[in-house]
Amino acid sequence: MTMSDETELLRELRADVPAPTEEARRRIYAYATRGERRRSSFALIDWQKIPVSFRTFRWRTAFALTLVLAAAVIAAVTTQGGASPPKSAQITAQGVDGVVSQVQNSFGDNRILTASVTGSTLSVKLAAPDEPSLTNATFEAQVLGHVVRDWMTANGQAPINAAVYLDATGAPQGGDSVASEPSVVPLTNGTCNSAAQAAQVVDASIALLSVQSLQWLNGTCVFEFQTSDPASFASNAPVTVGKLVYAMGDPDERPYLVQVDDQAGTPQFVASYVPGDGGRAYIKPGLSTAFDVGSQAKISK
Amino acid sequence: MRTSFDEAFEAEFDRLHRYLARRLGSPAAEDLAAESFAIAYRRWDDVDPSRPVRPWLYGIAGNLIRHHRRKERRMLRAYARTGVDPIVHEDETTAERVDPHARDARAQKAVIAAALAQLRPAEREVLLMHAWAELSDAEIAGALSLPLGTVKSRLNRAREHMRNHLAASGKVEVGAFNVVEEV
Repeated sequence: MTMSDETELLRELRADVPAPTEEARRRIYAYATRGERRRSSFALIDWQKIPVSFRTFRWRTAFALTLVLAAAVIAAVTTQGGASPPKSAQITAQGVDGVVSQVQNSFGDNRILTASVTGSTLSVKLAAPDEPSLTNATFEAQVLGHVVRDWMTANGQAPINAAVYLDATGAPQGGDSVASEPSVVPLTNGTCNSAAQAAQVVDASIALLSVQSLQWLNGTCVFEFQTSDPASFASNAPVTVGKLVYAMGDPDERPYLVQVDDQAGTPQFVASYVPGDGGRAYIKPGLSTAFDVGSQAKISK
Repeated sequence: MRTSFDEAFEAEFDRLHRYLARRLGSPAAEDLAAESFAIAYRRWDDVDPSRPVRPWLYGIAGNLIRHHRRKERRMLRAYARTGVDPIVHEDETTAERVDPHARDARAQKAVIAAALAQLRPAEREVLLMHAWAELSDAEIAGALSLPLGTVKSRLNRAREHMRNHLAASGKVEVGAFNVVEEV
């Protein structure tokens, strides 16, 4: 047996170490990306477009400081007229009924039957008595509550501070208090799609059926996936949904709903989140998952 | 333009994990790979986009491996002493017991492990980045923040020490490295 040199000998040593499993890969990816990425002002600048002579540290510092100062001046000028407009104030509607109609139509599934304001309470009638549809319907009602409150505030009306959810017969199905939530920057075009793609990277068993990018609360994403392996999806759901949420940006500050169906189109998993109202999730009985949307989660099995 | 973190993870994960697993075993490789990518993720936006990702990533991993030097050396010595690799756990088969070539290959690997164990840590680092991670000299220089000349000389010294050790073992012939069958 002849070897060319010691490097060749070395290359044979431990050449058959086991490859990492797909599960390990996902776990490690989720671990690595679980935290916030640190952003310095330097990172916002495309240094390749700056002449080489400007790329020394001293010039970078001066340039970055100039940009920061300019941004501060612009921010001061644009906020001189008062606070920034409330979220969803950009909708053009004639009264609360118009707002309700716009939100109803945006989801396009007729789960919100009617909604009306009495005093400081919004009553929303839902066509969804059972899970998993109740999770979808409650999500839509929660979003509606915030949109109505923001619209009333923006239009000089005393805003609602509570929402109650009723089934089609008028029986109570729960409710939430409705308060103003901190403003987040509007979701940019394509973010919901990018988030869906990021989730598919960590779980190859899911295929995107549809994604809705809605204007409500400065950006709401509604995803529907299909999986060939519901059990596998359920066991990896914390990682997959976690990736989705982080890819949307501003985690816990944007509403989202994720629905995953089996290949027959039956929902296996529905998770939703609305800032201020918390999360809600449905997992089809028989599937096992460690998914948890936080302390406010209401897990329905 | 620089790749995204996700693209870098896809491109580098298997390779880095394999390198770490060869050095410290699969369980430690998972921990170190996770930590390496977590550090890379946190610092992603702070690093010069013109800098190649691979050397930077191996530099992070190399810093983490340094905390495990003694463990790595212990495992190499155990391998050299027993002929059984604590990392790969390959059991000797009946065929290997009666096949002299298979037996020799096993003995030869134990000698290589012994040679690796006796290298200085800095030499072992450079040699394994070259042989196992298959990094170029320039990439190793980037990973370890060393001048290219230092990497080349350190690599030559490591190979020379390896060669001397293998020759002294009597199981590997110096020069063409013909493995001499055990009597």
